[in-house]
Amino acid sequence: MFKEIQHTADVGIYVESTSFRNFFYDAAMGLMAISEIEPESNNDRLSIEIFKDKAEEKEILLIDWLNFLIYKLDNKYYLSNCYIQFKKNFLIAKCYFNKLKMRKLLIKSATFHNLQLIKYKLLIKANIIFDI
Amino acid sequence: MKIEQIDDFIYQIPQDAFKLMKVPARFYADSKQINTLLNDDSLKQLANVATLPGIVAYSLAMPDIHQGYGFPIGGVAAFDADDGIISPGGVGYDINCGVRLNKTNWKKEEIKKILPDIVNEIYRTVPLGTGKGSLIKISTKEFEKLVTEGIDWAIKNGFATEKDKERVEDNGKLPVMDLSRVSERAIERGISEIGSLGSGNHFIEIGFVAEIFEPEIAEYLGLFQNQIVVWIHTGSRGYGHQICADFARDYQTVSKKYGIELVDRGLACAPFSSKEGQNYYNAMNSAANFAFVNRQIIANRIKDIFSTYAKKIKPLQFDLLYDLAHNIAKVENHTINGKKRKLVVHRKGATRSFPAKLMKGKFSNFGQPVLVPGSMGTSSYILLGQEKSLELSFGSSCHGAGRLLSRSQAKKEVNPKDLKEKLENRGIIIKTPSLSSLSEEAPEAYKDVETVVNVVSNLKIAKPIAKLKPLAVIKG
Repeated sequence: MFKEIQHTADVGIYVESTSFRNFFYDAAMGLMAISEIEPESNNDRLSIEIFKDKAEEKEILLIDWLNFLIYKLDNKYYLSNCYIQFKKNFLIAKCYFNKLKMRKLLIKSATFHNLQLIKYKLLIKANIIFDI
Repeated sequence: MKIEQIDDFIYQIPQDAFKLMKVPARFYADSKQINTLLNDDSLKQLANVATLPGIVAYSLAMPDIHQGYGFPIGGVAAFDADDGIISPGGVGYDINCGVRLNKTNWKKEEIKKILPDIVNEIYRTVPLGTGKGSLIKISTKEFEKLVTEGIDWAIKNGFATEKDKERVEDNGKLPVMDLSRVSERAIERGISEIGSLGSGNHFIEIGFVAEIFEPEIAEYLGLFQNQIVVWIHTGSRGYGHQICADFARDYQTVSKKYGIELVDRGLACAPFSSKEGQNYYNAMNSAANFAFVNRQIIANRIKDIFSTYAKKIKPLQFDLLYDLAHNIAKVENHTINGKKRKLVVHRKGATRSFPAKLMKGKFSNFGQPVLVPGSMGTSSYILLGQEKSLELSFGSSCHGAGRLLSRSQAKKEVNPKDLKEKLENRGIIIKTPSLSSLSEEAPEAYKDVETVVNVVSNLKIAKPIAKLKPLAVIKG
């Protein structure tokens, strides 16, 4: 799950999930939600792309992942679904993108501000701040 | 939080307030702003900056301080160029986000009838909002020249004049030795956005000179009562965003490599003198050059639009008053405790405010113009940098009103239709691609700009010269 959190200048989401795979999925969907996307009316143009990344820390993988999706949003594609896998320090995501007509909020980047993926009991949680 | 009052308008968080602080954290504010400042994390962020290696004297914030990521917005931090660091988080994603103020020879009463047409034409032709768009198309090779040469490139290509160059901070060109560490993605994003406004708090505003405080200086600057002026607030667009994102990511490991202990990942940094530090410095400067050219090209388009109405009014003069950066890190010489030192001064949501003795050409008589736009629909100010800024703020001043409410809170509290109507009833034309986002930039979402200006004026960091009021706002 994700929910929007208050931030004076920027925007943020709180994400809480049961696994890293779910966390990365929820964070991606949170990003799509706060971007306030309006899909293109003839929205059957689906494109599939594989995102691969390597980093020693999950936090870096997370920011790389979200910034990749922001780059796709800049190019008028929004993430409609994805399948995520982790192999050691690697992230592989099969992404399904659809065309967007417009988005109301332009997000410049996902930030590392106070970013820490916390494991608590069976949950993984973190606040993610986006620069707008 | 432990806060001490040092003097009128000067407050300090002592060095022992938080672990790892290397110097105190100082902020300039009116006493009535203190409670508001305690409502978010801005002062904690200011204290966090004081933990970074090589910081000199104190981490500092202007009266428009508000919460950012890593460094607060409205923050100034100076680091020793030999022993200190450079941090992408101390500059921000929108590298050289800044403002440009153009002045005309037209008066408020002369423009009244044609203003709606001018506004519509600007709105129609200047790329703005959340989409892509560019006023010019150039090759990758030419783009590399643009970001290396800044305003010089604009002059060579007929977009600017030598007179413009004199009136841009650092003549619109920061040193770029090498572009090899700028990613292809950054270039791809930048090349398609040359001459675009963007969204969020970026705007074009047509306003007028409402009040003059220093008639002699105003006349010297070419300002007169009821004069039409044009503000442009934008930055380096996707090019700067990508450069910041790339280096903020790399610096997560670079900080560790140099043994730098971070209290927040958003403060990730590298020693300025290291190869990683120099790589970011070069890339950041190239984004700053992009932003100077971006604002210049938008100004040209607006000038062309104004010119088409000259027959109805009178021959147009459309000159640059000043163009400045408020998200930047610069190498500057400052005197600290009687010793000259070379510093890397980070200004994130802060404006350089140099006094006359450090300026060349036209501004060597009175000091650098400090342009302070207010929130949408409120007054803005032209100030000039003063001597005291070197003693108190590493030659820096405030950059705007400073946010008060989060964007979602502003949306809850302000109905955009009501706001538009309210502003239009005051004679202010509003154009925006997204009515719902208008609430985010409502005057209620910002601090009182008069209070902010009053603080820097009382501290003699900058001197108010004129007050401007809006007639039309084109919001990105």
